[in-house]
Amino acid sequence: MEYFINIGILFCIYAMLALSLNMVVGLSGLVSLAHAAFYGIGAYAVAILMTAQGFNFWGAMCVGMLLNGITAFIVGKILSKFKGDYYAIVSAGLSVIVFSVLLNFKSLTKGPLGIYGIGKPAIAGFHFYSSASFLALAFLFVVLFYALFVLIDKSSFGRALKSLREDEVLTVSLGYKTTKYKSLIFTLSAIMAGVAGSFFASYIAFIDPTSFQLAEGIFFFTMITVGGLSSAFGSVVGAALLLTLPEALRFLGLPYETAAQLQQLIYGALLVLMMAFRPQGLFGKFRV
Amino acid sequence: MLNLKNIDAGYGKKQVLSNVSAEFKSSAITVVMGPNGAGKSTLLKAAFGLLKPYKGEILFEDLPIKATPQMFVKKGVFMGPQGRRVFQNMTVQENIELATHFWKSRTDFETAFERVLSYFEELKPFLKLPAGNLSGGQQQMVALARIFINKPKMVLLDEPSIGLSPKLINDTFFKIKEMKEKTGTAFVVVEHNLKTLLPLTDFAYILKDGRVVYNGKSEGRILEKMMQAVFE
Repeated sequence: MEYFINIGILFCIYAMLALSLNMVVGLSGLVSLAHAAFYGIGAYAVAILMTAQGFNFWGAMCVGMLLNGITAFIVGKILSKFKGDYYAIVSAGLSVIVFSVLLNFKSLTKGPLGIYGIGKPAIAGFHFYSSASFLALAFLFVVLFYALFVLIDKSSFGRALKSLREDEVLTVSLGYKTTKYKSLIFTLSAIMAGVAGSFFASYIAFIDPTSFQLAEGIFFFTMITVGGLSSAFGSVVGAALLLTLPEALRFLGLPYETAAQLQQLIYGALLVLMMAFRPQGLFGKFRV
Repeated sequence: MLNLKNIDAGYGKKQVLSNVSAEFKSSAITVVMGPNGAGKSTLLKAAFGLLKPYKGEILFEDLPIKATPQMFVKKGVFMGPQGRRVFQNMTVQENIELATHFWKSRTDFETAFERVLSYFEELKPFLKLPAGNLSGGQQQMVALARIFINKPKMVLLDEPSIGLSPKLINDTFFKIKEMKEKTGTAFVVVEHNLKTLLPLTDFAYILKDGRVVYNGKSEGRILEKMMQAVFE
């Protein structure tokens, strides 16, 4: 049972990441590979502030969100000038920078040693120590993010995003300030990724920089590509599929090394197959 | 109504327009012609604030302004960019609604929508269809309807003829003339060469190598001579 609860928590974290990333990639058509960076900033904010500064979880998470908001706002201003492949490359650059900082700013992040002993959230004296209560809390945030996605999708803000995704020049000619919309959704998505990072750090209790590499960002990208771009439901399905597929491998009784390699193989093959046969993903409404 | 004064403009180090002045009058159709690379689109982009000129001044209704698309749409000036007519995946109605994002109140939408459909009757059966499913000529009408839901004072069109058959080009220009007469809207139309349809227009500019070589009424011997010199 504990095993399934743990899978459930990981699912919630991935679902938060997928939902937030899909707002940028799906709704707005901006191929961002920077998501791992914001995930990392959120996680490290909680890790550092809770272990070294005596913050509680919520305070640390809010600082992480704020930090992400500021970073994303500044980076978003630069990114908004780019589109298509260039957007992807520049955003990937941010991911590499943040990873290097986490790895090398040892006095703050302890570098490759990582940070351990990260605490759990608490509300009014109730500590979310048990996995089941942690799962419930994480799930609540997934529901919130899901609702936010649907709300934006249906709003006039969402329609502006979808129109700039389809034709930015035409959208500008109708008097939309598209750079503003692009940087706004990028910032919102980064703040949400920070929440996912905070939950991850608290749940795992030990983090090191390897969890926040560019490759992770590409993994999140695979989740929404498989599940479906521009779709809240697709994001959640993608997160569930990519999480449970390799877990299923455990039950085949393969040796650890083989299973790990096979997992990468499956992710890669899945991405290739989806791109070839169903580029909009299972429940997608849009293709890059 | 829209005046450009001594505009120098271009892209980075590549200067395209040199000291171009132009006056686009209200309730008239002005056509801007010229060979490829003469700077027609650049002129339109600079006029609409999509491109910041190196130097020069832009006046709207005799007042100097800082040209941006956001400012222009609020003042009733709209642009149809080159080769882009509709948002393909959105319905015809959504396409039209997209141009009303800056309205302060939604309550007028229904009446405005009725009014614009009375000008573009042919769109009525397709309102709920994705605009990408329509023919090129119908898409052109969607693009115009999207602009006309705003009661524009002036419409800038960058090569509306692109990708259309000669018959549809004719239809488009007759529609432009009809809209000018019904609503008093001014049009500035950039076209490579509009020989046969010139009688539908009021004023003409000819650009060559980033300079204005003709400016005046869209008829007469001087214009004919100049067109021969530039295009042949």
